[in-house]
Amino acid sequence: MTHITLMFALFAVFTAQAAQAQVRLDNTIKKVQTFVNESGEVQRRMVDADSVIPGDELQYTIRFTNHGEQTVDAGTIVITDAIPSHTEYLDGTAFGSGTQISFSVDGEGFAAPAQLLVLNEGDEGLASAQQYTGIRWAFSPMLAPGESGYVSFNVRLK
Amino acid sequence: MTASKIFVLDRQFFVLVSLLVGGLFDAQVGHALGTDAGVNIQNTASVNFEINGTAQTPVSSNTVQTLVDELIDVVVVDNNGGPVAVSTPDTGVILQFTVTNNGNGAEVFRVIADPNVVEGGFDPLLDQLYLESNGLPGLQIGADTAYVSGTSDPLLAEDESLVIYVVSNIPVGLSQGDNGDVALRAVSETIITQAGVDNPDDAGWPTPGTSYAGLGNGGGDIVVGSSHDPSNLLVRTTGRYQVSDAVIDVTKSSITVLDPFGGTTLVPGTIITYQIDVAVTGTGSADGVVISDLLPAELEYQLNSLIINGVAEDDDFAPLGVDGSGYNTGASTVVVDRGVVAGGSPTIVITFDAAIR
Repeated sequence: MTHITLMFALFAVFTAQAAQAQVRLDNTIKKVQTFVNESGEVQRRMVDADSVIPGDELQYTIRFTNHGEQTVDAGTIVITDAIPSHTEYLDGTAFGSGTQISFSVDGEGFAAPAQLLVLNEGDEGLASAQQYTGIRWAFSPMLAPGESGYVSFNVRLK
Repeated sequence: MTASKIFVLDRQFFVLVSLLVGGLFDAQVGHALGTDAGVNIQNTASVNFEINGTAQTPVSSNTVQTLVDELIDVVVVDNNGGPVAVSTPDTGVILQFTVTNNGNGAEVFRVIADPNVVEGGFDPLLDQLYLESNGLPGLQIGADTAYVSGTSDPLLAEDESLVIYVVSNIPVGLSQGDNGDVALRAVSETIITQAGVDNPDDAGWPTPGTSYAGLGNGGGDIVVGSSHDPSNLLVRTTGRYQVSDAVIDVTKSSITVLDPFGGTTLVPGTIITYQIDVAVTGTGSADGVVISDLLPAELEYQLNSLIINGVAEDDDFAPLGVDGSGYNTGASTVVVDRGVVAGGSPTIVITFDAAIR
């Protein structure tokens, strides 16, 4: 009897947390492929990224949606992602409409590229895009029920 | 690895001998070229947010993942630094190549030597291929592995290199300056079994990007890499024999090793005595024979240690000294100028000492 009671209690906790999680994230990955079109121009297209080889460019897109019944406060949505292991961030590819984008070289402190300093062979200098380990988007507007947006960034597989 | 480079310019012989012996410093050279095949690349994002001024429990995204496929890339390099001088006829003459697995997984390669190269003037008579296997520079028949196609095809790990020796005989009746080329290629066993071809000139040779499902290291696909592009083919290269009426044969070895403790370990301060044997054979003579040995940064020449044919040679050399032999400090090069050397002359024996820094 004791065990059954405990299981019901845990179920209740999970249900309560699921109800709170009204902002949901949907992460997708695509491979960026270049090809030559009929006019002989080099173009880019997104294809499935079931597998990759060194040198491939990948794009991560994270869609955020308010699935709840209450509006999320303006200026409080902060999305954080890590640059995946074995990849390096491609400079200038981070995107997010209505967001302030910052980066990290240690996964803890985040700053704009012009303020992100690292020690390179003893000398302090600006971090290069290849040294970024994390990326953060601070979304300025409020997010009403049913509304959504997305952020994205590209990396290259080492 | 030791590489002997012989340039033949208007019958002037200029010999460069690399000093690295037996992979002494090779361990520092290797580097990874790409993420290993079979690695799973994962990513999960998270979000923090507030409702009515109250921070909510952070939420994580789904985790997306992608598998790293195996890329087949192999590069074959001609180590001979120019044509290898031979006589006509000649036997047991050696071309040396290096095969490097530039892919991101372990792969078995078949090694194929082709003496019927269009550019060559004559076809060398292939005798035997050998795989470097005993760690000593140069071919040691009996110690290095005699290659049998399909049986001793080498398995090369990611970034691993292997020296291949092609031993040939040279036909009789050729003329001074005739060239005989051998093209050496390394073809992945996967391509041979899946595409059914082992020659870039054949129809069906896979273009870069061709993939074979599920055959890669770690369970992913195998993808043919850019080294297989027919317009920039790196899986094959050509070495050349050239008939010369005077042939220089240079052999280099380390004859003694003495560490600071009286032993033979390779540590800073260890003195290595090197010997270079230079033999000229043939009916003609070699003009302007200059042997240059560039010391790598890890080695320091020991002053006044140069000995030529048992006679001590001073370190000065032209234009500073009275002759063309000595040690060029600025270029870290031991230089020995022997001028004209007739074919059949006694072997020139050069020794000197260098210390490990």
